Amino acid sequence: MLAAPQIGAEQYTVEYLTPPEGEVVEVGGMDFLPNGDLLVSTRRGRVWYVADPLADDPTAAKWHIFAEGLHEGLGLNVVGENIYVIQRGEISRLLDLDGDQVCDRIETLTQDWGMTGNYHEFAFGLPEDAQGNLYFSLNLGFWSPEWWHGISRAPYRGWIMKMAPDGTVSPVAPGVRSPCGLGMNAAGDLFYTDNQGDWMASSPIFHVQQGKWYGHPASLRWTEAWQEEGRVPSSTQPVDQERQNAAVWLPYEWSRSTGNLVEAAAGGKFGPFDGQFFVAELTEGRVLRVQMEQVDGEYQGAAFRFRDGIGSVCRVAFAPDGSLFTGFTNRGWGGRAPGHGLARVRWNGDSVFDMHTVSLTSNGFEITFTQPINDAPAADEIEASSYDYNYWWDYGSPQQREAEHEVTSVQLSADGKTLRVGLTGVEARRCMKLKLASVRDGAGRALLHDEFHYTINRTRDGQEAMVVKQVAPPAEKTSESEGWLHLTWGDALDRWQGEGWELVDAELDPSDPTKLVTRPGIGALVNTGDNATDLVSKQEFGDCEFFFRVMLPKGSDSGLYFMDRYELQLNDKANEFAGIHATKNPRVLDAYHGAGEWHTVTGRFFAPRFDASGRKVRNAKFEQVSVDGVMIVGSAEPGGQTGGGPENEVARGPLRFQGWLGKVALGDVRIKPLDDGHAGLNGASDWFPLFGNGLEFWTQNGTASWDFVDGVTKGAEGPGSLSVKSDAVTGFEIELRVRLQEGAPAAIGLLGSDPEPGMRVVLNATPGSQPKTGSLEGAQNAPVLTDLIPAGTWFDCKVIGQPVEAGFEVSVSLNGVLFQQVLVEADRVNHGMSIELGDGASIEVTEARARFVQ
Amino acid sequence: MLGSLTLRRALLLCALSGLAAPLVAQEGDRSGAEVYKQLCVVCHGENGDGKGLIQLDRPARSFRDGGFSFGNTKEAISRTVAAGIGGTPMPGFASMLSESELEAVAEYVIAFGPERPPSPDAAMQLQVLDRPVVVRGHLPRVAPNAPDHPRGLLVGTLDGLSWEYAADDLRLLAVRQGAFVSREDWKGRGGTPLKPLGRIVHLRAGGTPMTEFTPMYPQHIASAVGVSLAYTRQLKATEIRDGRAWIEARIMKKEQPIATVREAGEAFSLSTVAGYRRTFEIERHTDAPLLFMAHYSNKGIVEQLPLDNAGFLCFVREGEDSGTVYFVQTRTVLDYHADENGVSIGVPADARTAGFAVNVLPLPSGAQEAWAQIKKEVMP
Repeated sequence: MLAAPQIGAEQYTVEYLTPPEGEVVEVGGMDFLPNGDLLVSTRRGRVWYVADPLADDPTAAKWHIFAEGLHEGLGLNVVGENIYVIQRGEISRLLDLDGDQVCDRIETLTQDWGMTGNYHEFAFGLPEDAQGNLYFSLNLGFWSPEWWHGISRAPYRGWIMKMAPDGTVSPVAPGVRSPCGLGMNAAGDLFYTDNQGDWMASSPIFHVQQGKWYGHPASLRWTEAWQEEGRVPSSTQPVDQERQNAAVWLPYEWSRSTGNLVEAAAGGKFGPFDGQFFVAELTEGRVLRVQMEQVDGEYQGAAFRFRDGIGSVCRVAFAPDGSLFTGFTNRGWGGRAPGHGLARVRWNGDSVFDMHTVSLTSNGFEITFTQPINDAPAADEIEASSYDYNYWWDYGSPQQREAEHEVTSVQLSADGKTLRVGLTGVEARRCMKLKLASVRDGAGRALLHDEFHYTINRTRDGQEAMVVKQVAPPAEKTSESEGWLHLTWGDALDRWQGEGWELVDAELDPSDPTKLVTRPGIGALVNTGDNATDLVSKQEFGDCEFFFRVMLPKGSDSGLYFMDRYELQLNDKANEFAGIHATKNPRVLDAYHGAGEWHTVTGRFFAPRFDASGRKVRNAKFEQVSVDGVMIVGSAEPGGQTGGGPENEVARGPLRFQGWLGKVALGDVRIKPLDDGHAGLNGASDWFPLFGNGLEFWTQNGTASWDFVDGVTKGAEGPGSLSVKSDAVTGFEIELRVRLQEGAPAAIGLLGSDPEPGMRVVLNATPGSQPKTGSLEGAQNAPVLTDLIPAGTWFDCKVIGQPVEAGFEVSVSLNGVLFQQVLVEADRVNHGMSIELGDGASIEVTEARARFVQ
Repeated sequence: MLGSLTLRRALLLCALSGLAAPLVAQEGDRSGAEVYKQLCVVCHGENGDGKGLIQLDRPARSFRDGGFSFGNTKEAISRTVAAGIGGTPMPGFASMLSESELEAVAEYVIAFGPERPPSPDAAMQLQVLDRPVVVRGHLPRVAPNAPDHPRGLLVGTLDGLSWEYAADDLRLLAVRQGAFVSREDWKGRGGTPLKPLGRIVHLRAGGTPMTEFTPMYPQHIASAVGVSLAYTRQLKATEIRDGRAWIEARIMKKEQPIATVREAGEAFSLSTVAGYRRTFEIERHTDAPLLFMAHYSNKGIVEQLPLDNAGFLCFVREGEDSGTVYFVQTRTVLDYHADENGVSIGVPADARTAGFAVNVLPLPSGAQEAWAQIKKEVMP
């Protein structure tokens, strides 16, 4: 007879206690008093006293408030007669001096850890070891806008900590992210649970050991080594330091937010699982079971489901009678209802049929059941697969490198309780999942839970590897390409002026970190020359967003001057890097990773504003200057200008990288203009749309196909052109928005309506082909060799032709930045324009309009 | 310019004011209407519209729109009537009204106002009902240029006052009056600052007061050396005992504890001026010198009066007609020092314990006249 798979609801019942009406009990910690009553500390800063919690009718328990006014109580431990609670800012001992079961005195045992006030800086705890030390953990902080990077901004955030009986606090181990739960086994080993996020692939259970690093880099800054160097770890680049394996990874489908864990020592009253851990999970709303073993002295083991459908379980604690109390909260994160309150999980005493222990063998697993099973399953009735994870700054990691495994042997012991399963491909560095759906016991029952996930850090033959693999960091979450100008792609130096700069690959000289060694390559622009000058952009910019990468050798001093005047410091000094000279100290954080390390610096710059009479009405300003996504300057107005720049303040100016003082390596300099610096045509008529009647009035030449759909003019399969004649005009201004594909160049033809226009503005995003978008050809040649705009990206283009004193001037701007201003012969006046396609080119044009001076 | 003054007297704690219910049983408590007619009409008007016979610098509250900035519950209003509102012409009537009369007149003035809908987020608003409440939490800035305090302490006492301290060094930042606090961190993901609800009756040093326990005087003269020598005050415990909330702290000289200090606050009024009292009990552990700076000033003490049996009294002028009165009452011998730099209370070298109360009466306006009244009352 095949029984339907049970989910344990009958054998492990869940009974909800009833707090007083209207009270919201968001459980952060709980423990039993010597008299059997229960104390529950909550996120609302209350400690509830629950008398008679083990009454057969759970609604008969009596609740009253024991203490009020705590600052969250995310851990409570009753040790002897002492009631310890960990609040956000202190570890306290609560005393009822007059025996009325209400707390009169709250002693502050310690406040000795850092807090910035960030909302995510929780403090969790609070297991006690045999020496009387209390253990706790400190969450990292999360700030906008890059909320996905956990940051350690105050001492020991991101660490496991301990408090000695005399109140002295000392650090235990760094690398934690959101260490919501701690638990200790009977042997005195401490474990903690972390939560998925940056650098945490899924929800792990780590064995805590002094001085080990658990993977999140931010907290390393408080180690002696990093403090001495004055460095702050990168939020995006992996740190080269020995990292711990988790003892057990809880698969994401089972655990999305993990609470604490508790070892069962229920004397058999909670079923057959004494000595194993029960783990709180609040999103799916369940309790999981974890069984560990030691291989070569290190913990690893299996995770099983245990009881689903309870509520947002954040805390678990065993009662004196062997039942398991679960405490709920999910405020702010979501989770299965109920999201607050308490429930008691009780075993009804009936024999439980489940997998009891899983032990790694040399080629598979030895599974012990709680009851003898009927028959060994056939090899093809066992599903086996494995996976691992990536170690990166992205939010968690999906299961990676998934593989199926074959069962090579199945052996059942004589007593029917132990099954040895041989598998292909058992190796360290994987989590293995096995499902034994067909196993039945003597009574025909299916396993309560037929699946386990086992974390293999070490194999029996001595292999050891990381389950979570370091990989190249994913692409940064930068703004999309649209609107950006890449000033160093393609020909890196074309848009710059300066002597002594080269495009090379660069790194720190191993024998002298104050120097860079370079070799042929395209990774960096470096001022290699002995008398290098500053690197100044040929274009001028006003308001803009900026992005660039930079690396400095030890002791170096450089800077980026906006509008040739306002300096963003690039010094090899943690408290100066990416800083702005400003009237008030604007730094909120240091984020310098050290000499020889590449950094991505981003932010916004706003030029000073002047009124019509030339008086300044607004200062220049930097905003949100960030290093690797970590904001270090919120807003700063440089007080006047930094030394080293020209005197008068103006509305636009070039970028200048300081090159004469110290060596610097630059890469990928990008600017996104936030204003339009191209003064319009004087005395022009009103604007009129160029495609107001679609392609009517335009002549199609060549073999290209042209179409006008939804306001977009599309041209494909060049060669060919679209042209229009007009009456002679004295001056013209054309604006359009263009998107160009790779394959072949295109152009805007000007100054004549013949098939061969007098002048072209080149549009070219094809790699390897010159010249690039923004170049002028024809009556004057002014090439642009830098790949300013990637293929497939919309950009704005403006062309103006007008008579000036010295002749006829044609100017071209892209995304609001003036790139070309050239003089041509005075008698050239426009007789029309064209859009030209090279062989195989493809272009889209929209929002095209023009105006003229007659 | 007054010279400095050192006072050494054996003193008894003077039972002057404080918040005491009348000791005499009332033959017949008056109704709310009767109380209102006898004591309140003169300022608040017959119809509760604030237009009484007396012309005040700050118009008396109109009860007709139902808004009370200090808390609109019956409990909050009775407390306000009892303790007065520091810094305004509203005096405290505790010595004149019984508890039931306080409640009755509170109900009477509530009735002037419109129907009140139940307040939203009521659960987040902690109230001080029958015993003081001590709250630990993140305190927001108490003034625009003051910092916020991720570790903060807010104490609500039964007289409607709330006391804001930085919890890591126990500097008293402000004293408020009215409703207690809204626990904003009970919303959303939590971790947000508290919202103290009372109106500030005294903001100490713009929200950035200096440390109060020092080895010597005057500690505050702006010098880096002076500041680094100050003692630190470490929170040891908070305790609710006999209806009062005590803050217990260690005074630390670097790593060494040199004394234990217990502090409790309550409302205090003198003449028609409402203010507050901080009671200190000090137990010394070493011979290190110990001073309490009641006031730091760079403007000068205007007038100070030694008192034969009660401590000392002084008025510190802060503006044209504003300032603060400090009235110290002591239980033990102490050294007193006051000059243009501040007011200090020193524990004499041979004393192992000390006890004193610092009563503070803020006078944001009409200070000259109030000071004259206070002097008369203290030293008739």
